[in-house]
Amino acid sequence: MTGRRVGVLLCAPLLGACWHTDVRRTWPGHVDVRTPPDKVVVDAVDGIKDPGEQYLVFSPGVFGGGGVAIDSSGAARAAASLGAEASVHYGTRHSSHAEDDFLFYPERAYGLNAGWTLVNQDRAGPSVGYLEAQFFDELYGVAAGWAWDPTRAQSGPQATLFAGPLYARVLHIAGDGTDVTFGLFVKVPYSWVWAR
Amino acid sequence: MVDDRRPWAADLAHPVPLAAVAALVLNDHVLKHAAWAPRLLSGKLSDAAGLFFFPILLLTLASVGGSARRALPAVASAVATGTAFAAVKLSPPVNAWVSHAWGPIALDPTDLATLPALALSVMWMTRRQLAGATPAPRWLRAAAVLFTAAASLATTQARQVRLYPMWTVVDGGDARFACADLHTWVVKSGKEGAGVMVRITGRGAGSVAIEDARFEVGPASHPAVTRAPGFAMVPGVASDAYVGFAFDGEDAWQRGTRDGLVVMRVAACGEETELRVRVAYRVDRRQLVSPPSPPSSTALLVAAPEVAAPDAGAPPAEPP
Repeated sequence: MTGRRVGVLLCAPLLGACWHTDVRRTWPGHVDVRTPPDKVVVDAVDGIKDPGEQYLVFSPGVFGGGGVAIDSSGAARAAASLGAEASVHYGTRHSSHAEDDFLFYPERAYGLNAGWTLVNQDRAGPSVGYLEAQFFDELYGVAAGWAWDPTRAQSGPQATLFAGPLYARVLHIAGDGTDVTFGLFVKVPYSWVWAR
Repeated sequence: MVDDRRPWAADLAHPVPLAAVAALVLNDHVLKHAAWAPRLLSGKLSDAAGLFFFPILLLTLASVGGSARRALPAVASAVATGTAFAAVKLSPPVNAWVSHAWGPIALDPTDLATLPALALSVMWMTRRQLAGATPAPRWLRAAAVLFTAAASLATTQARQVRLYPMWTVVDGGDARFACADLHTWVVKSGKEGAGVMVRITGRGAGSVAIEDARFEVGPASHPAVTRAPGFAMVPGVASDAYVGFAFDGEDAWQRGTRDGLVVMRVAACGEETELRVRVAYRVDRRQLVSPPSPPSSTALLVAAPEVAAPDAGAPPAEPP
């Protein structure tokens, strides 16, 4: 799976391009100066190996999904959630993007997600805030962190698995229960790109 | 004379030209990037497909009404297309101008082998319709024109590729000796340093050897990390000597160092000379028109003999 495909999956719901700023675009590439070129063409430069790029990505967005809520007594009910999340990631790509690429995104990245589940049906508290550390490689990602229910002063762990824009999330609030939800993220990533 | 007053767009709204458009799209966006696709096929398919449908598109966009005399505009459109195509494929200035406006187009005279597709296009436009056949409905013609025009505009490969700073010879690259001509250029340039190639073309009996070399970047002097062999000269025969220099090219670029000097002590034809080749560290915008990867840009623009470089690593020849 290429970075472009990841980008497509992440950005396709937006039907728009990934915006970015080239902080450092023109930068030397890799060469092996100790070995003569295989083929000599007068006045031509031998192949330069692309060192790739580094990314800092800010991705605000929304998410929504549904699943099951299991209360402290073990009773399960259908649940739905809707919220907003902002992520900051540092990532890398092994090849540099072209300015007229429609979509591009780091192939491997890690960072932080901060979000708020605004509507959490069937939960006593109306909303839950959370902070997660996230890692993704190509298409898939994993995040884990802590969630707080401010109205009830309760908190607990939260973990999320990602496959492109799809997610599966487990939230456990001590003394209240566990939510398992599946859904879709729609994010608008903005990247700052440094040539390596 | 063909008596057929169907609109030109009707000639596009048909499986045959639409298959040509689809072939162009498939080739430009899939086959050209696929390792398994033969270069000969992917290199010519888009040209052949484009030459087939573009004259029809041209007449459609020019709003030339369908007339009883279809042959004249069909041939005129095909000739105009062929002329423009040949100019782009043969003329470096035209190619550069069109590549800048439209996206990279290979300056490749062998692509003219696809010109017979124009004849097929004329035959298609001037064919007689079967009795009872009706032109495609207006909406289908409009969709075909839009699809074809979009495909024509979207055939370019990535234009705004990453640009690499490169050391480039700005002065002193050519030297003449009694037995040989020397032409020097920077063949490698990057974070790890630079490499210089010296083409030594024999003019008479004698030998040429690069005894010593250094690359001066600002106040720092970096000795060669490779040793080029010596060559016995044969008139008209060219040999290539490679000399590599290891230094921090990223640091030089970051510090704003833009000037350098390659100094080579050359023993040529019985005399010893110090060649001083001035080089500049800069970005060559011509990288933008060199698909698929930037570095070999000059190769597209400079008509030059292409040879293998066995001599670059060969053992030194004994002087005669």
